Amino acid sequence: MSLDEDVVVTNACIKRIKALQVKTGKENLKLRLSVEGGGCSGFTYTFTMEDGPVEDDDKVYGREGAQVVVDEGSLEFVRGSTVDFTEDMMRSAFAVVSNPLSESACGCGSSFAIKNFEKNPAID
Amino acid sequence: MRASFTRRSLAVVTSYERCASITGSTTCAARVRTSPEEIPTSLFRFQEIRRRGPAKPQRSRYSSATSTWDPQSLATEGKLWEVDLTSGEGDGRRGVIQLAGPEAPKLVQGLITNDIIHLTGSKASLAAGFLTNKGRLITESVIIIATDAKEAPHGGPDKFFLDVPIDVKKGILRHLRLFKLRSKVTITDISSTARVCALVGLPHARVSDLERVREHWSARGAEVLGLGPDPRVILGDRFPLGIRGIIHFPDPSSPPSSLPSPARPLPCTQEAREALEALRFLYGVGEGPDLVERLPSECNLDLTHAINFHKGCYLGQELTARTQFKGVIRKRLLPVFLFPDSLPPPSSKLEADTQRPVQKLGDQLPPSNANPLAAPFLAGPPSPSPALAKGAEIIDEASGKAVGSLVSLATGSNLGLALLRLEPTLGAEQGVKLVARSLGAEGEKRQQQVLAFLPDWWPSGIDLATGKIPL
Repeated sequence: MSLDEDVVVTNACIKRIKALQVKTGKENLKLRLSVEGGGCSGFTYTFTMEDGPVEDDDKVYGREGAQVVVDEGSLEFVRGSTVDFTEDMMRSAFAVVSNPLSESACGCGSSFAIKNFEKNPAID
Repeated sequence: MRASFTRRSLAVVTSYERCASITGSTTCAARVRTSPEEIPTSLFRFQEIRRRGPAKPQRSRYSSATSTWDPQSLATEGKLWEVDLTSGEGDGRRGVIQLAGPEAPKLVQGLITNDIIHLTGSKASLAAGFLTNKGRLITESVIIIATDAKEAPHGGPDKFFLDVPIDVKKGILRHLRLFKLRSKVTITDISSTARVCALVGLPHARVSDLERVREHWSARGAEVLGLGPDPRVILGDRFPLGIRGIIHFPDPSSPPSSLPSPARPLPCTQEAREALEALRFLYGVGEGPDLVERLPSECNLDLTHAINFHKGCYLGQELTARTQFKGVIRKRLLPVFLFPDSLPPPSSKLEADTQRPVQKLGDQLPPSNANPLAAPFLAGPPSPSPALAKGAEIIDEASGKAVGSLVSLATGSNLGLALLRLEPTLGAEQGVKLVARSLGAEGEKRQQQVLAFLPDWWPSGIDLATGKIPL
């Protein structure tokens, strides 16, 4: 885990992706993190599993054959975050934790607001 | 029931509870003619209070089944006001933003207080607010479905228009683009080719009149891009604020081309413009940049059918929902009349004249009056004493306590909208004298009396302590 990476992937996350690869039999299975508008704070994280090729504007993080893919547009909203796999009483799910750009988040953690909303380079 | 409105009864209308207990009724709309010398014969109307229990359908009170609603004949009778809201000057101007694409409803659904799924061919318009993540208004808006819209894959129409105040249009465009990210939506500002027009008539329009309005505008060479009743005020099956259309009225002087030609304004009079504004004020409907940064429930968005409390998450929902279910609405936007401060303060209780039948605003009014809607407000000097500025503080004169502030001022009449605390202004046992104070250009103090009242069409039994309608 190197600190200069844009997105940090935890061991729990890597472990889960690998487990899913074994379970589905798709060696190439990747976790895609993207950011969409929506939710009570404005933006939501969406996680999807895919096994297609990586696209040109995608950035790839991870190790040991487990990959987390983030497109450039979404990266501007999650730069510096950690992608984790949380297991607690509430849910077992991939989650973005400690997003330095997130100003506030709603109770369930699936939606968040951005700091310096107006100056974000992702916004044209 | 009818109540004569004299100097003596000023107290009554500022004391809603009192008035209700005396007459067993709630205040209704008001007509007031003002002159600088006096508060003259004016008419306050009262409606029966709807007791708790099974609600009496409003239909019976407001519908008159006999009338035909034909724009042409109404216009000749002087009972039709046609207003081009995009042209003209001032705060009231509206712009049009077009949203199209399979994900257009999804984008907007996450940003508005109302539920876009309900916008269909049979319900062609929705009122809604756009909020910040703190739950404050970016703007109010009327959303109108495009005539050629189809259903989007995940529900909702794939093409619709946002009718927004022109002064906040830039901000709202920015807001939409910010949350668009990669969704399949085209956001276009079409204010230069399309315009927001309103058609208000007496009697009030119904949904079944939409086709006649479409024909009326088409006959004048306009292309009707979207058309719907103004969704904010509903009385039974009628829409007192009329019908709103997004129309393109091509300029014949420009050369024909494949591009949409620049729009020509719809001819309309200043009088019609002011009548519509006065009407909107009387119904307690705020609009435009005056509402920016205010709370949606304080601006009556819950009463103007602009908030759906059953839909999923949207930006700013947390505070809005919490206010509705856990909190209180202490202040609301109320219609007010402004009078010269030199007039004697209210001193007496209401004397209701129950012998005479009521004529409701919006029903037939005296035939001698050529422009029954507008005349009561537009007659005489618009402002009886030096004009107050928006934001003027409103004070309970007896206690000296601030109870609110002036939010909007009508251009052609002494009407305004003020954000007032409900309990101290309308709930007082004795009538309170309210005054608005602001400083003039040269620092001189300006002061006027303020008369606030509850719009007649609000559901009766509004709880003044919580600002909500008891369920």
